[in-house]
Amino acid sequence: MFIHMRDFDPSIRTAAENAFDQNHPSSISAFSLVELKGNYIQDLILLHRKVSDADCFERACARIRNSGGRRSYLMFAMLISWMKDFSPHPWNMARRGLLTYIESQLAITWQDIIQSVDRVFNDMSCTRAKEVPEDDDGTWKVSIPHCRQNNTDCNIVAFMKSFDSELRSLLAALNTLSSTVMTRELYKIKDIVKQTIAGEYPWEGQTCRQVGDLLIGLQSKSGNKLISSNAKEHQQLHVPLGYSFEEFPIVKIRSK
Amino acid sequence: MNKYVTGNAPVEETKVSSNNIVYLPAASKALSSTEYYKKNIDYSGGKLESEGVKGFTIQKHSLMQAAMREILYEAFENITDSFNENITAAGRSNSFDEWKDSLKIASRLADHFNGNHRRILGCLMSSTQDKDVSDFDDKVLRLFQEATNTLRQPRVTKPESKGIINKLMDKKINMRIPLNPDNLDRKEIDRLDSMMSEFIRISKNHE
Repeated sequence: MFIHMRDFDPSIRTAAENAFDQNHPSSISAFSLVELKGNYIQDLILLHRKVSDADCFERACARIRNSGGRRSYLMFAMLISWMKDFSPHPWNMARRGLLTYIESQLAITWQDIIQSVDRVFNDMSCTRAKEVPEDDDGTWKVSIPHCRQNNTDCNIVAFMKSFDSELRSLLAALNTLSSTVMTRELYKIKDIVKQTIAGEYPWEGQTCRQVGDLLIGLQSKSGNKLISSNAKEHQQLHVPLGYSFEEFPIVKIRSK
Repeated sequence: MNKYVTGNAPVEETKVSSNNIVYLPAASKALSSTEYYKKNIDYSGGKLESEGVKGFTIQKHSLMQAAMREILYEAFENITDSFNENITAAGRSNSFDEWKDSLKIASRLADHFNGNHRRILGCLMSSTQDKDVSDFDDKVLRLFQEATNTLRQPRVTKPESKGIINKLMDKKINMRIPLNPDNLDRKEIDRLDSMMSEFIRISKNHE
């Protein structure tokens, strides 16, 4: 939801801001912070580095496209479009202008999400969610390390164990779904739930990031309802897991 | 509580405002920042640097510093005028717009700015993009004034920039730039692609 406050379409931005403003007390799952780092802040850092290092505009574009892919390139284009009076020449001046905006967004994004909500649910004590993006004299660091015994002290295993009956209901429900409804993430969730029921939640590595909607869904049981645009997953998860779900209807908002 | 005194400000020229911010003196009041910028700085490709002519580089550097001081002084005066009750509404609005212009010039010109300067400057520019003076109350304008004054310091620390950003956030100032590329439609993607191609062409022509 938080990411929609930064959508290119003003109607979606406003609707997302209203969803936070009109649903107090609002909260987010700590796991959403990890997703924000991985899906948004890391892209900003990539833009910052490539723009800083490039010696001309087209080289900056090439580096962003080659290293960050289409997503980062579009983000860069969105920034330039938003600036309205951008000129790529002289590059030294253009670069300073770009870095000024990128630097400001890096500085505010994390704090903005924390301040947008009344509470952050972190029942699982996610170590990665506690790792704030670091600014080391202008060099931003926001890597999300793979979880290992020596760098993680969360209680995700106990958290998952406490939802054993919900996970069994979910597995039964997922087994009845046709392949047209199953998304890649739902297949992954099914696989992980099976392993968890049979033994222990296989948390090491990047397991949590592959089943983010499952974790956010379970975390939502602590609140009244979950608002999310990930309808394909949560439509299937919310009944067996036992939480209320309200879709944030992007297509509908845009077509109004 | 007095804040923000820099070492190079002669004491007799330093003014204290009603809200206890110490104003730094102007580098020169002979020309406006835009005039100064146009008159003294030839920034057509940074040729002086690449030629490696030491004297010219130093001369350019000192001109830049003087111009920056002037631009930031003018920015400070403009934002101060934007909530001055003795000025007409039109005058206040024009001062606010000129303040925004000065910030944009500063963001491109200032080579002495560190990340902390840029964070404050970027937040000011992103929160006032497409906005008019009437979108902000006096308390926020005074905060913009304080932030602009901070930019005039040769060094800004991380706690200082964080402090300013926190104050802006506390006032619910929206500093977000819409950069989420996830839901872009085909038409918008095509528009962005063609805009970028055009900028790449312009950049290549100048190489």
